[in-house]
Amino acid sequence: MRGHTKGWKKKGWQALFFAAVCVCAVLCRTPERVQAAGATVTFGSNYYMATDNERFPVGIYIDADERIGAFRVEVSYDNRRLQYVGGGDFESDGVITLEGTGQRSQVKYMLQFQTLSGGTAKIAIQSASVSTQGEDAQELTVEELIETEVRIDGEDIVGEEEPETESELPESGYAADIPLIGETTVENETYGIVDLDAYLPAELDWDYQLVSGRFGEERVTWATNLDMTALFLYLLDHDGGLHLYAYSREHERLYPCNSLTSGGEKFYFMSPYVPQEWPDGLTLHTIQELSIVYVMDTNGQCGFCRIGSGNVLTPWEEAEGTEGMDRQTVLVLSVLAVTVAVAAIAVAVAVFLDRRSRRQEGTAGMTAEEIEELFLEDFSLDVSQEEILAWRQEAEERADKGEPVIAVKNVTMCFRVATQNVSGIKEYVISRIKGQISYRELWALKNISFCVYPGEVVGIIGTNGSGKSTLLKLISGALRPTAGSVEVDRGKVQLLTLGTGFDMELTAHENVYLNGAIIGYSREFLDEKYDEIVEFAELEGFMEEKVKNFSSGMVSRLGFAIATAGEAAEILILDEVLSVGDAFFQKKSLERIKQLIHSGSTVLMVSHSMGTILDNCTKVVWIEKGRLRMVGEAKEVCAAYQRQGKEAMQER
Amino acid sequence: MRRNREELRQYFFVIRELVAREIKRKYARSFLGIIWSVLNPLLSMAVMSMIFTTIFKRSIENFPIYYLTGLIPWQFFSETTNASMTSLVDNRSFLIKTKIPRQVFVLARSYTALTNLGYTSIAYVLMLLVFRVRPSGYLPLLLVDVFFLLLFAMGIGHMLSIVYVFFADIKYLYSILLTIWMYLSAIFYPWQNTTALMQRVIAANPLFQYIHFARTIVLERQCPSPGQWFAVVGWGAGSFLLGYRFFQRRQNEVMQRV
Repeated sequence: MRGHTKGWKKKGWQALFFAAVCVCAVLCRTPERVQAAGATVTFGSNYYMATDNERFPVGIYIDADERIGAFRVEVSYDNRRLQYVGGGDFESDGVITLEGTGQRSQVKYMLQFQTLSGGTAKIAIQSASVSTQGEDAQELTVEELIETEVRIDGEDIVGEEEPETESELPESGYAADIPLIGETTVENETYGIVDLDAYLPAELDWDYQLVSGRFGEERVTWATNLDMTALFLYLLDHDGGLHLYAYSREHERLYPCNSLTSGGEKFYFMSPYVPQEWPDGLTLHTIQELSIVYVMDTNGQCGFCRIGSGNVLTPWEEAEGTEGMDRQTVLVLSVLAVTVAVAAIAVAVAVFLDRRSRRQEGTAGMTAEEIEELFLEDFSLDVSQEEILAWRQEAEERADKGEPVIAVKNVTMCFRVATQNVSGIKEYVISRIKGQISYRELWALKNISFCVYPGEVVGIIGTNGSGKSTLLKLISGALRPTAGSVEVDRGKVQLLTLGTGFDMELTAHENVYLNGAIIGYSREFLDEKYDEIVEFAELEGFMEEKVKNFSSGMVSRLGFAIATAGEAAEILILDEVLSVGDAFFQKKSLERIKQLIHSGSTVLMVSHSMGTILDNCTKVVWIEKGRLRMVGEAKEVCAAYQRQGKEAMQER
Repeated sequence: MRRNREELRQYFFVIRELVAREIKRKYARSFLGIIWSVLNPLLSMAVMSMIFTTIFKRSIENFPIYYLTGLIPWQFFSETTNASMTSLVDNRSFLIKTKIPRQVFVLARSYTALTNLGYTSIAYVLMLLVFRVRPSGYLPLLLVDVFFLLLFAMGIGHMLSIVYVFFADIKYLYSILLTIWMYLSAIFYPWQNTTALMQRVIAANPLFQYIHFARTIVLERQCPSPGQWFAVVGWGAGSFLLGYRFFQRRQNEVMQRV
């Protein structure tokens, strides 16, 4: 074991090394970058996706073939749709400046932006100058000034590029003579704030109230609707046009209100950010999905509406919205629910039917007495009823003399074997519900009783398929009887079977440790006995070979060697372990078994070799087709068994 | 007392042998053998990262790491439960022979998955280095996350192993369930971008809690919130206790059917 632990470690290091090499090879990432003679300035991505009012990062990489010295890069961005949050060195009026001295051949900036509006916002490298490090610093050429764009989901409240003619207007004042409180800038446009206390515009055609409050630094008079859910201002542009703007307390900014006529009535609609609270069930997602706006009618009544095609307003209702928004989700969830339900029903039906059939078995099953009668009636061979009863009595009498270590009392074992082949769960469930699946009952053992006393060596004989191995499994506790009971201290029992539990893909060496561990040997014990096991199995030189390359004889020898390596358990159960290997090995294994027997174990063995049975056993149990035929002296029972065998041959 | 300790040592020995067997078996016929334990996750991670950095561009910064931090716990869970499910039936021949508790077979399969997770995390650490994720001081908390995820997976594994003995079709049903479960775990999409209802469903998904816990530590470089702690510990302990009890109650019936 030590040896191959070491091997493992070695392989582990190999793996690490190999892995490291692979990472280097596979993962030389090449972000899309225009290779220029000197330096490049690139974005982390060709384009970015964002939703309205979301914060997101944009990576900017300055790369050069040499170490970068001083650099200065100016990045312009669409400051109507994006708000610069941080990450650069300084910012002014839509241009972020990245400036400094590099350390390596790459300089990386992570700029943070907050989106203000839907639409497509451009971010572009405006200018770049990069020079190399050291005394003979050279200016590197940056050949291409690239740009990237951010696609922002959501209502585009900025609109298309405004013609910049307006800004060319002289700032000398406003066209109309309207009293103003102050000025404000909305989306790069300066407006005058109309003083509603002094002047009520003609456009004010809805039911309003006036309340005074603050807008930023200034004291203003707001117009508000009757429910006071939204605050409005009228802004005057340089051409003398008046515009209604609604204030979002949450975002501390003004949103434009547009009007439309729907069903003969005039409505104002604005950003859903205007009211302070959204009703339950209204999410940003719904708003985007259904293009929901906040709407006010001329009576000052407000609510959320969807804008349909042709500017048709339909009031938004939660139920409708959820339905619309989550239709796919609901679909997915119902598929999920159906699947889970089908699975649950299938399991429940299977369990229920299983339990019911078991209960039926209980009621339809026979009591021990019934079984006894049945079995006595059936007994039509050369042994009379009286004789059987006499043996049983004898067994009981002996039981009085001492404590049996194994007491098998009226044990019946019934397996259920499906007679119908059902392929697939659907058919299975259907036929189970219809009750069409019938089980053939296989009575492996019927009403077996016998006792084993300390120090006895008991043989179990019978033709193939007569239930010998089932009996051993019952005694070892691997199975539980359908009726009757087996009394034995399971802790003392050791079951030796062959040919099971070998892993064909593992080497013999590994299988010794695996099987040994399962049987209950400790590592120290196995380390100590390993050579002995190999020697006994006569497998020197084959131990590092995979078991799948072994002959069946070799496998059996190894199995025997492992199974008998330990110290004898108090109760040893041997399942046909002696018919293994060639004649020489058989002799050797017989000796090993004899040793175990002589060390005081109580032994229960199954064997087809009459010689072995006669040589070793003090008592023999003969089972035929699941029924106890005879219990008694080895010679007597073996003689009867052989006589019956001969008769059967002659009949044929 | 001394006997107990010896028994315990024997359990560990059995588990180690069973695990060694599973791992050797897995790569028994391959030329590179155990190297695949690291190489396989590494290569698949590399491929996935390339796909997600070049083909699907997302607004999430460091998407490959976001994805891997979700995928690895997910794979660990699905491997543990799937392997545990068949553990009793696969070890049928040992069940009859041995006196040690039957849980050992489920434990061994879980431990195998844990070992594989260990190899995978070597690859994961390499990826963290490649993608220049700054390590946070909370990284050791990942062990807590893994521990409770293991408990959670073992609880379900215990139950499945019993159910599989009586109702083998559960294997196919479970694989479908796992597929749905995976899509509800926000492994390769940003969960904030889903609908409100969907977010509620995702938050109710215990596996997502484990993934979210790990992402909070690795990507946000923060200590998970008390709510997250509660979910992670609660689901793990609850599932394990339930599964273990179920197993204890039913294990005798299993012996008849196996």
